[in-house]
Amino acid sequence: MKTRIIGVVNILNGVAVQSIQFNRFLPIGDPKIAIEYLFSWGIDEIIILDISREKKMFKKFSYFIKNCFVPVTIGGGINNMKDVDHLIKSGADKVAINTQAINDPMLLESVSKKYGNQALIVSIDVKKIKNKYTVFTNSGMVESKISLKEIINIAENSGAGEILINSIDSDGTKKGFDKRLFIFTKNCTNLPLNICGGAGKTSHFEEIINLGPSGICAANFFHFKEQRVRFLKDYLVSLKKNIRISN
Amino acid sequence: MKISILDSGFGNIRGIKNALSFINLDCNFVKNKTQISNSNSIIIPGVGSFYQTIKRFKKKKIYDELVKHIFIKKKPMLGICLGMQILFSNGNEDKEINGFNLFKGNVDSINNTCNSELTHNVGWQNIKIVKKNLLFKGIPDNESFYFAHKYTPYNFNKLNVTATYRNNGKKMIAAINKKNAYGVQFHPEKSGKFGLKVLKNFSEI
Repeated sequence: MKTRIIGVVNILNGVAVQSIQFNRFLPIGDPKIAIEYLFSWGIDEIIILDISREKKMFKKFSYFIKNCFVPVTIGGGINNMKDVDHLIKSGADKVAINTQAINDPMLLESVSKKYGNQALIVSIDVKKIKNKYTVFTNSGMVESKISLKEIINIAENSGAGEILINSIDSDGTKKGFDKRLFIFTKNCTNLPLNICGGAGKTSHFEEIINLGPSGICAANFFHFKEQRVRFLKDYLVSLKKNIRISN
Repeated sequence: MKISILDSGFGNIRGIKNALSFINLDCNFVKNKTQISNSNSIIIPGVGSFYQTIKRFKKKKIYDELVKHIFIKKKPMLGICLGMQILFSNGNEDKEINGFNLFKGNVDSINNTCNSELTHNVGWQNIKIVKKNLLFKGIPDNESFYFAHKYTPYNFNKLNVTATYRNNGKKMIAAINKKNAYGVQFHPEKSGKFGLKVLKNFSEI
């Protein structure tokens, strides 16, 4: 299977934003336009995360993704099955569940049963505290008592199709992906694993692709330069990496 | 030409409508016998399981109308994902049930059909066009398309297969065609520019 290059669009109060370690946010612009650019530049998949503390944008997603013809995942603030139904109806192919994966693991089971394993991504935000990978919920605000291994087990047992690992420490730093975190997680599971946080240059993708992720995610990396998806893919193709070439 | 999308009651069919609108094609949703009977080109999206889908078609009395559309009127039809699988002789998802039998072959889980580690085929796969046809007009060989399925046809007649992909060295069906009836295992509405081209090509059949 080809390694997927995934564009992440973080939405804060209706505006696409750049996130730095989950606590500073710089505006990018209209989410619909950000999504359309990613699509036209040849992205393989898009993950949209609503990181607003309140006022969920659920109603607007179908508008945001109207002109996006690659698989779309939507996450952020999903509380119950009603939210999931709404997002799938709006055109999401998958939903990403983070906080409720810990608070209400039964929700995960309901989603995978109703829409299939491929429709469920368990998204895990991780920060290193006292040299230990610690899981956070509520957009990185709340430290969870559950360990990384435990939440991965929950994901596996409840029929998740994929796992998304976000490194809070690496987020927005442009210093590269957290390879140790990736290896640690990969050793815990056989589920397809997506890694996010820290992409700053094309060589960062090369470093991580060799470790066998299913998808490599980046947000800021793609948003601030024209045609960045194409440049990245040209680079990875020149290294003979198994990715989708999108002319 | 207006394209009709079969709305069988649940699931995500908005993506197909968005794709058709994006390439300036007129489309509508059809739900019942009369609407299907009045349609010209019809897309059957795949949602749910083989068993559920056939059952639902029969319950809503649209099964016979689709048979008419495909076998008697011979109007254009495109089955997507499960919408392609139900065109085969029978399926074994949930329970065994007969399909439309337009193509000879059985549908079962990838797990049972090809001893492979890849039991869920979810992601981008290159497809090999083995037979030229109108649906793939202008599409280069070895282009990648987006798949998301865990069931697949086996024991099929190679004659009708128009494109394949490889799973663990084994050739699997990516697309199939007989007269005006087309089926694709991948999701053209999620397969970028060339997926849109497949839909455009279908509208011109």
